[in-house]
Amino acid sequence: MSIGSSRLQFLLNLIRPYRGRLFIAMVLTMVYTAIALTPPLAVRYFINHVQDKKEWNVAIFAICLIAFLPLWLAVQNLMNRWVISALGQRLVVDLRTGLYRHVLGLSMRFHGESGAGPLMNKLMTDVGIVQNLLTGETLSILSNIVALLFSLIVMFLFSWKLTLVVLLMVILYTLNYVKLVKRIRSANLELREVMDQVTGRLQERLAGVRLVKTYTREHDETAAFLASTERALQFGMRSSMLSVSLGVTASLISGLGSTVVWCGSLWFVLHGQMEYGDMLAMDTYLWQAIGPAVSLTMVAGSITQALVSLDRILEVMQQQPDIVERSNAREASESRGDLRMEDVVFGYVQDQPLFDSFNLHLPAGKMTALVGHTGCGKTTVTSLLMRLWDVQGGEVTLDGCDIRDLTLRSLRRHMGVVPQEPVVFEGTVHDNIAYGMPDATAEQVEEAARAAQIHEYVMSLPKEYNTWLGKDGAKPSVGQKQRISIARAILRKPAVLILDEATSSLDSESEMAIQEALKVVLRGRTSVVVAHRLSTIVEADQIVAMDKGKIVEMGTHEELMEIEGGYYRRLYEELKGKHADVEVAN
Amino acid sequence: MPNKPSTYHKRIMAVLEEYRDKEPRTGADRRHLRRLLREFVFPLRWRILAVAVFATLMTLQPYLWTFIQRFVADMVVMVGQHPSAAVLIDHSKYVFILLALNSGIHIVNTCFSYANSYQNTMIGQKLVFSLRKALHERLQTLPLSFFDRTQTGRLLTVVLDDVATIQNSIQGIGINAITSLASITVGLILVFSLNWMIGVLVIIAIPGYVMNFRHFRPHLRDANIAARRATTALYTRVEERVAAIRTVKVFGRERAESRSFAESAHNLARLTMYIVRMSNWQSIIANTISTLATFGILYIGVREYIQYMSAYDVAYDAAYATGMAKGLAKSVVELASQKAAALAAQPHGLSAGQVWQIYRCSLFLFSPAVVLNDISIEIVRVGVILRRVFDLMEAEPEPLDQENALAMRDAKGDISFENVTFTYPGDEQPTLRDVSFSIQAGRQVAVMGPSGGGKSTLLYLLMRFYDPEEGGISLDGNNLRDIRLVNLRERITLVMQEPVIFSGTVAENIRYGRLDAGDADVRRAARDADLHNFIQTLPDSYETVVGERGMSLSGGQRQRLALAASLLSRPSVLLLDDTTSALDPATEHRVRETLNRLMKDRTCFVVTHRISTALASDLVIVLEEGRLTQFGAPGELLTQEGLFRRVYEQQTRESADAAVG
Repeated sequence: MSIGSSRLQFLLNLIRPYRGRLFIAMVLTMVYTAIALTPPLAVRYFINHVQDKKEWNVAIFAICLIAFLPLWLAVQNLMNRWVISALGQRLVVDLRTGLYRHVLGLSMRFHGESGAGPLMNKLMTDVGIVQNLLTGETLSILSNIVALLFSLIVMFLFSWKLTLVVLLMVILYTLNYVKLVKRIRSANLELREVMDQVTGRLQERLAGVRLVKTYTREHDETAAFLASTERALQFGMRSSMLSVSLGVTASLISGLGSTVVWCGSLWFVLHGQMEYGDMLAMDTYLWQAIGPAVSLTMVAGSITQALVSLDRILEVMQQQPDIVERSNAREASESRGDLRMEDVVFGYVQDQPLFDSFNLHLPAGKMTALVGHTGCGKTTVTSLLMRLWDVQGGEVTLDGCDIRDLTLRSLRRHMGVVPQEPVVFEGTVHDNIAYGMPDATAEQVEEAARAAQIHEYVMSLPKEYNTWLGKDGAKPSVGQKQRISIARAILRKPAVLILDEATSSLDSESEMAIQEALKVVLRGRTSVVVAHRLSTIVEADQIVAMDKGKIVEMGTHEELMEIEGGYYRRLYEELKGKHADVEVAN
Repeated sequence: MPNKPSTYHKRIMAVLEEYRDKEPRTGADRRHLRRLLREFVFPLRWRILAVAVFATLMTLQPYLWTFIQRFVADMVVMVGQHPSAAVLIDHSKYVFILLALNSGIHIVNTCFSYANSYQNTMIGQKLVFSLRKALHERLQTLPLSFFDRTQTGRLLTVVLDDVATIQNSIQGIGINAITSLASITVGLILVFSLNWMIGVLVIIAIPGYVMNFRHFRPHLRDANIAARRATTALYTRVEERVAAIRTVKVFGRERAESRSFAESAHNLARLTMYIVRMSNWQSIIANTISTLATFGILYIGVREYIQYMSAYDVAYDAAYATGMAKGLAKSVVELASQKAAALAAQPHGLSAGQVWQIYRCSLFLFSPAVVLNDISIEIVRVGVILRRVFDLMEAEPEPLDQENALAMRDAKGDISFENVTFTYPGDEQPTLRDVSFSIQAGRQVAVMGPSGGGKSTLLYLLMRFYDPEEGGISLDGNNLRDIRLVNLRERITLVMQEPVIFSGTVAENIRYGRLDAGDADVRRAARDADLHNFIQTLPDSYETVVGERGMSLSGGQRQRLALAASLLSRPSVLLLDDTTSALDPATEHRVRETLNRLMKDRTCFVVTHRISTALASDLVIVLEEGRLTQFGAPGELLTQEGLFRRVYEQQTRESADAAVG
């Protein structure tokens, strides 16, 4: 399918539920535009007839027409706007929700390690632009074409000679716009770049104010700021004056053009070739022809932009999730938590396997620590266990059953995860802990919080479990966030607990509290810990030392330390050097 | 069905309430406005005067146009009334005069308009510049405690966005006030001079028109702000959830997430429709008022016109009859009677041109009235922003040097603390309590203790980022407060725990320590910090751009870069806040050796967790909960019961463990 047709297909699918409404909106717009062009004709009628005949009853009719026609038009316009906005809002909701649902359903391959958050933020803005393309631009093209044609035809009927002058004017006006608008756009772009630099520098220096003060660079900083601000202002001046030039030239063209037409029609009137009412109507239609001509050129620009937005959305919407449930997938109702990876082949990039025939057994109820240098595949093991990625060969089994034969929900229901960087959402403490089990009772949440050693902290907050994190003056530290995240993981009483230890050093108090929390929580559960801390590693039932996607050594701490010059032993020494600082405080 | 609208309404109101602008609107603080006018606007007075004159002149143009149209209308109507007159007076020449006149007006107006915009933009830019200059200068003098309690984002908003808003508003308010007032004055005079009844009608209609806007504006503004915030909240939430996609997936919340998202998106859509509905009502009412006014104006105007024409006809006939009776030639009679008729008709109604003019002029009056009303709202809004700007501009600056402050060109590096107690602003517990010690120049001092014990604060006080509450700190026997701040910070330099790297080249970052340093000095400093070899591997060597816009550096590289900058500044006292924590042991060892050599005669404070570093120092200070609990040579401290020995034992036991395995 070509890009063009897939775009069209997408847009058609989007408006299909609303095609009736869209049609009505289009008809309403055309009718409105046509009627909106009639008031000058009413004035003309008034002038041409009343002035000669001086008849009061004709006059009152014309007055009513002139006065009340705009009111009728306004009301019709509002109805129109109502219909269009309602349609537009529905489209926005549909598009945004659809996009969001789709992205949440996509697999980790799409999201990547850094996360697609910023991308999404941009896409949500794109949605508004695409909606405007569908409701705003389409309808404005319609009404502009109707207005332009109508005005030209009416004028042509009054005087074809003067209409030629008008046409010339419209062309000049449009050319002026097209020519200047490009320069304005590039000037604005330059201005934005300069302003970005000013902002970036200011932000950096404000954040690094201690460094500025350490070297007493305050005066130099102000001087540099002023120099760049001045430069920005010069650019600003240039871009403003370009816009002013556009406006001024446009009004000069239209002013002189309309003068010529006006004087021309006066000449015709004085020589009996035109009526006075025609002259006034001509003057009004002249303006009604210029507006649409420029709008049409503007619309062309915004359509190009909207298509860029549309393509960005399409690119995401056309992504398919690679992890899908099998049609005969079954529920894993109970689980002992016995996990096995058998002959697993896996790589993030095709043909570059990280794991080649990887075997690992995580016995039920035991704690396994994964150790090794960055990039050795520790986190990948946990991702495969949760089926965030699918293996390319071999299988991962839970209680002897291939996890691909289980429904995703039921598989993940048995897993609790504590990520390396704890995630705390905007919301209350209760909501955050109950994230995986929204119907959890207050008692269950409190029990989980107690087990994670965070209950006391929560009770110290102004509204206890109903404190809104981030607002309400509650700013949990990293350690506290991590314990909230632990509470969230154990609330569902999962059979398997997966824990990615934080690498960043915590203050001693948090460190101890977390260790305490973990001791309680890990008891009797299958657990996989991507370990960075000596204390955790030493206590594991089984230590798996990994290097470049392979298991190098496996056993208990004592066993592995026996190996003279062994990989684990060297790793241990290294870790101890690094973590001595942390241990100091204890 | 019957209760549907009410729940619908309630939902909208709930969203509106949640995101309402909660900033108190107290109105413009007169003092702030006065200061703005006096210090920032007054210097631009001549330009402002020029703009005011141009703007007023431009306002008059449409009125001038109504006069031309009136003249033409009457001329044409006369021709239509009495075609014979056309033969007598060649109206055609007027066409050329009008063409020249009108083109001239347009060209002059274009020149005015350009000059006016130029001056106006210039005023805006100069205003922005002077405001930002004043703000930035003030920012640089503010003490660290100010930056501790203020978010960087907020400061940026004030310096950039708020200043731009003030510029736009001041520019807009000024021009709009001048042109609207001029327009209303001229328009009312014209309307009243033509027909008092229409004048009264207009005077009644305009306040009604304005009241309508006055009523809806604040609601619309609130709703718009709420809609914008709700949109941002929606986006932020998407960003948050998608960034934490692992958590969402693992907890199986995809469906629930999209459901609740759809709910919020619907609420936002409802709010948007509420805005549309409200602005629809506003414009229906406005249109009704203006329609009724137009109807009234035309009704009176046309009645007056018919009266005028009948009077005209009567007078014309009379004059014609008199002329013919006197036996004058027919053409002369035509001319004379026409003039007589025009004169005679004057008090009885309005000519066609006058009706047209009065109709146009009365329409010019409505929108300036609304603009004037908007200005009153705008002033309130600017007041709130002005308060933010001036709060910053009037924030308390860092303590200035005392008059007789000591200009200290060089220092030996003797340091002493006497009973120093310090509490961070806003904290309840002091961070340092009654700390006293003194150190002779040239010593290397290790500062140890648990985190939160006050180690970094000790260094900050030495830099005089903060002043102690009680007690005093002295350098070479002079209290820090008596030394000129510039000199003090030249003599004492701090390398922070998490060093700041600015966007710029490597050389620029090192040279931040001493701006006039030559290339050779920069290289030597880099070598001393064991960074030279690494820099050589960079694509553009010393000219490689690093920081946010360039290459990102590892923690260890950043630390060494900061260290190089500090070495370049050649301080008498060097403060290292755990600055080598991210280096691997071998590099750290090399850096330490260099430091020992360079700092041989200088005082050096090192915050550290490593016992090896402490053992290599001349002196050790142990800080626990803000108190100095141990102070002395490392060997001496090992013999005492205390934190130092505990740490020593713990760290040596661990290496022993490792050895035994």
